[in-house]
Amino acid sequence: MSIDGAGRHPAAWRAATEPIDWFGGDYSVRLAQEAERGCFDFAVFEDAFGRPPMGAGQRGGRLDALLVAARVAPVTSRIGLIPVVTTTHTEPFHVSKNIASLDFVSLGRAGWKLAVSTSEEDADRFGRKHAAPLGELYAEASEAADVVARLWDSWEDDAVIRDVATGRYLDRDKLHYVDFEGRFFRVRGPSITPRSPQAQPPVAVAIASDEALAVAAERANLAFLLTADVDDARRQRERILEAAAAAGRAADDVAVLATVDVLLAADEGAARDERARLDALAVPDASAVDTLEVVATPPMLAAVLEEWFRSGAVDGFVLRPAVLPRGLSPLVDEVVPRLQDRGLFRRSYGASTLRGHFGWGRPVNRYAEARP
Amino acid sequence: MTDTRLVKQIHLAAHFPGVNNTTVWSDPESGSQTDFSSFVHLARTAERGKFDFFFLAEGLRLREHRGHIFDLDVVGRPDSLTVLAALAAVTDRIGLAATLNTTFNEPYELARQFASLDLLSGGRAT
Repeated sequence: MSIDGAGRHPAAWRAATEPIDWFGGDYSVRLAQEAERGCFDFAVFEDAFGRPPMGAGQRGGRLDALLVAARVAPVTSRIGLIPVVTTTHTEPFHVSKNIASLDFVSLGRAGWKLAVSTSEEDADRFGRKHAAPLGELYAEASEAADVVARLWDSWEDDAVIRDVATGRYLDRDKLHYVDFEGRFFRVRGPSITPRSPQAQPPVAVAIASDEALAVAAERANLAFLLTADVDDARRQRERILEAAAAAGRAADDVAVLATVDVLLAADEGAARDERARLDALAVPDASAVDTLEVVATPPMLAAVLEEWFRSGAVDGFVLRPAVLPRGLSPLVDEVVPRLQDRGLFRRSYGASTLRGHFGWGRPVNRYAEARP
Repeated sequence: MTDTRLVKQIHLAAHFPGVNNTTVWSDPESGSQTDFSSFVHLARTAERGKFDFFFLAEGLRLREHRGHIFDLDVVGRPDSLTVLAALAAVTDRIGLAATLNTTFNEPYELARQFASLDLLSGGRAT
């Protein structure tokens, strides 16, 4: 489930059937609670610096995704919360402590969707450096993800001892300087934030390019495919898993999910009519990647998801409703029950952490392992 | 009845006693300095007392003494803005304030984060 302002379609805000405060805390809370009612694994909080492209009829403005996720955390209890945080202009030290802190306030439900900033406009907002080619941006992102993962381990779980007898709050042997020196970053550590409930919150990457795929295979737990073709999805999944294995990772360490843009109505014609109405208000970006789009009825969407899943192409889906908030309830009330009836989706949550939803245990600390 | 418009009144803020050499951690009743529940407890208590705002300090490094991490005081804390955004969900009126240094944060990012916190808290960011 992806939360991106008023929905995926650029004219979505004009399709609202009720007055909505898009930028208030209650809006995102309402969506996340609704997705939690549907037992969704996680909600992605989309983000990018600056305004989305301002075509005719489009809505601008975004909040900081990590803070939106934090605002949602105390009033949800099971759903994973995955904000987009870019690595191009944000230091890995900040990313590390901020995602770890989201993990604390959500009691183990944080994730991180890694992204890069490609535009000169974004670079100008910071004024520190120029836009760089994709290869450089993802090389930097990979290094940033490496630094973040190390900082997450820079405290061992039992570092805080509160030993009244000796007056020591901390066992300082259980804090570690990461002493990272790479092409882009030099980070000493340790983090200022202790090891979080999940220790290593899952990292997600959208597979928008070969460069992104390489980073996902090496660093990510969740790969979000952007393709409309089921065979292409299967091939991409195999490439990711092969590259992950080559990097020495376990096969079940990475889950591959397909991104699906959805617009549902009671019958197919009505769904297409609404799509046409939205397109007349604002045409979606023609250069956008060709993702799977389902403009249909809830049973038809359930059938497509089942087909993709059963064919072994993907492990799950990131659903992006064209219009929010009203695009979400049909997913919860009419699509999820069909998947549950086929035994393909949980009827209630079994775990209370994001890692738990994917069956991933709490990882051993790399620095604790290294101790003689 | 006193007209509050005519009588100047005191403003009160509550500072979370985290990483600080005056923070008592050795008392059996002192709770976690990291768990979110401790932040919720103090913020809600301050709000019950009609405090103006709740305040979190910041420090981006761990204190060291003779080349070693200083281990006698409370060490480690979550990110202030993340905690404040979460506290916005469980409080209604109290202001939410944080120290953020300008040395290691970009102005564009700080402006965007404080504006986001202000919107998410219904106008309570400081």
